[in-house]
Amino acid sequence: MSENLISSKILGSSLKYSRFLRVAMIFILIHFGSFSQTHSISTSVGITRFDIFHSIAYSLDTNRCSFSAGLAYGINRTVFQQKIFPRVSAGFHYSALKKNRFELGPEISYSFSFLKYTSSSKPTMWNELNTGLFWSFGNRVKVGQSVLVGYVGQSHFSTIQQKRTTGSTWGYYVDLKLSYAF
Amino acid sequence: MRFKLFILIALLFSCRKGNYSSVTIFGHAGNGLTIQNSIYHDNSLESIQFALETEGVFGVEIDVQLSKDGDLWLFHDSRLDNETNSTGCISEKLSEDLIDVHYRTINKERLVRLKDIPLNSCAGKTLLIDVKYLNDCAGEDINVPVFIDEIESIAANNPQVNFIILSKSKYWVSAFQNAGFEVYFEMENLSEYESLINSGIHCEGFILKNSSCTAEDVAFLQQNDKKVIIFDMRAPKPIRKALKKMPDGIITDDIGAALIEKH
Repeated sequence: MSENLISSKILGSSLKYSRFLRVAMIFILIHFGSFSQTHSISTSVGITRFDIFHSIAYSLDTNRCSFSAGLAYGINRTVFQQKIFPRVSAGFHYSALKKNRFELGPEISYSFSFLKYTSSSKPTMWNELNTGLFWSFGNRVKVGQSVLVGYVGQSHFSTIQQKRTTGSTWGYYVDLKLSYAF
Repeated sequence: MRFKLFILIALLFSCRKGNYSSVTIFGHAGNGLTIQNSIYHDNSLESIQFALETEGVFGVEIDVQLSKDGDLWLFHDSRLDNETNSTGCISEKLSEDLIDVHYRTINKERLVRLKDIPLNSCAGKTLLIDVKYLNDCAGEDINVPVFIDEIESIAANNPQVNFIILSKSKYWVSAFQNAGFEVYFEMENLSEYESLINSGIHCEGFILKNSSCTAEDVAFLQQNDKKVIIFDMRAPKPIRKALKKMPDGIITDDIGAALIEKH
C-alpha cells in the first residue's frame, strides 16, 4: 500500500516536472531555436550604493531575450583613489514590448564586487541581486537604460571575531548603456 | 594614441600618497552618518561593530543622549520623529519606552544603550563620546552630573577601551576632567582658542571642522600640546585634504575611502 503511495507521488512529481520541462522547452525553442542570434558588446556607466561603475559587457541576443556578462570597475575607487575596485556581473532581460526600434521589459542581474581597503586587509565583498526594468532604442547601435532594485549582501572580515561577518540591505543599480551588435 | 593612453594610466596610478601613518581614523556615528554606502544606520550597534571590526579603524565617534531614568542612549537627532518609529525626545523617555524603538530602515536596527555595546573584545579602541546637552522637547539642558555618573560607571566596567568626551559646552569641561576623562572641545575655528584659554578652559584636545581649519591651525594646536581631530568629510577629496593637515585623527563618514587614502 505504502509502496503504491510512494510510487504515485513520484509519478505525480515527475509529471509536474515533465510539464515544466515542456513549457521551458517551448519557451527556449520560440526564443532561441527559431530566431537568429546576434552578439553585441556594450559599455555602460551605472550607479550603485558603493560606487559609480564603468562596465564593458558581452551579450547574446535573440529575438526577445538577451543574456549578458560584464566586467566593471568603480570609478571613484579605481580612478580617483588608485585602488582597483572590480565588479563582475551577469544578467538577463526580456523585451516584453518591441516596437520599431524601441524595446522595454524586465531585467534581472547578479553581480559580485570586492575591494581591499589596505594592502594587508582582507577584501570586503558584495553580492547584489537586482531586478527592474530596462529600455533601449536603436537597431545595430542601441542606447538604453536599466533601473534595478534588489538585495545587497556584504561580507567583511572582522578583526575582532577573526572571521567573516555578513550583513544585508536593499540596493539599486541605475545605468546608461551604449551597445553595438555584430 | 596608445602611448598617450599608457602615459595617462601610468600617471593616474603613480600619484604618490603622503605618509599619514600617525593619523588615526574614527568612524562618524559608527560607520558613517547618512551615507549610502553604509548598510547600517548611524549610531546603531551594527554600524558601530562594523566600524570597530574594520582593520585600521582606531575607534568611533558616537552621539550620546541621557534618558529620563539616567541611561545613556545613542542617537544623533534631537527628536526621534524623523528617523525612528517613535516620537519625542530621548531625554523625556524612560529606557523601557526606548527598548523597542527602531530606525525606519530595512534592517530596523534598534536604538542601543552605551552600556549594551559589547566592548570586551575591543581592547585598545577609542570611543569619542559626543555629549548631547540639550533636551529639545523641554528646551533646557540635560542633567549633566547624572550623565557623568553613568559614563563613569560604564568606563570603569570597560578599562580596555579609551573614552574621550567631545564637548561643545565649556561649562562642563572641568566636571568631565574631574571624573577622569580626557575632553576634546569642539571649536568653530581657531579664533575661539584664545578666549577659551583666557577663561581657564584647558582641554586635552580640539575638534575642528575640515572646512574651517588649516594645516597651520592644526600645527599651532599641536605645538601647544593639544590633540587635534578633524571632522566632516565623506568624499575622497576632502579626506585627502584633511589628512594633509596632519591632525592626530579624522572622523570620517566613509571609513573605506579614508583607509584607502591613508595607506
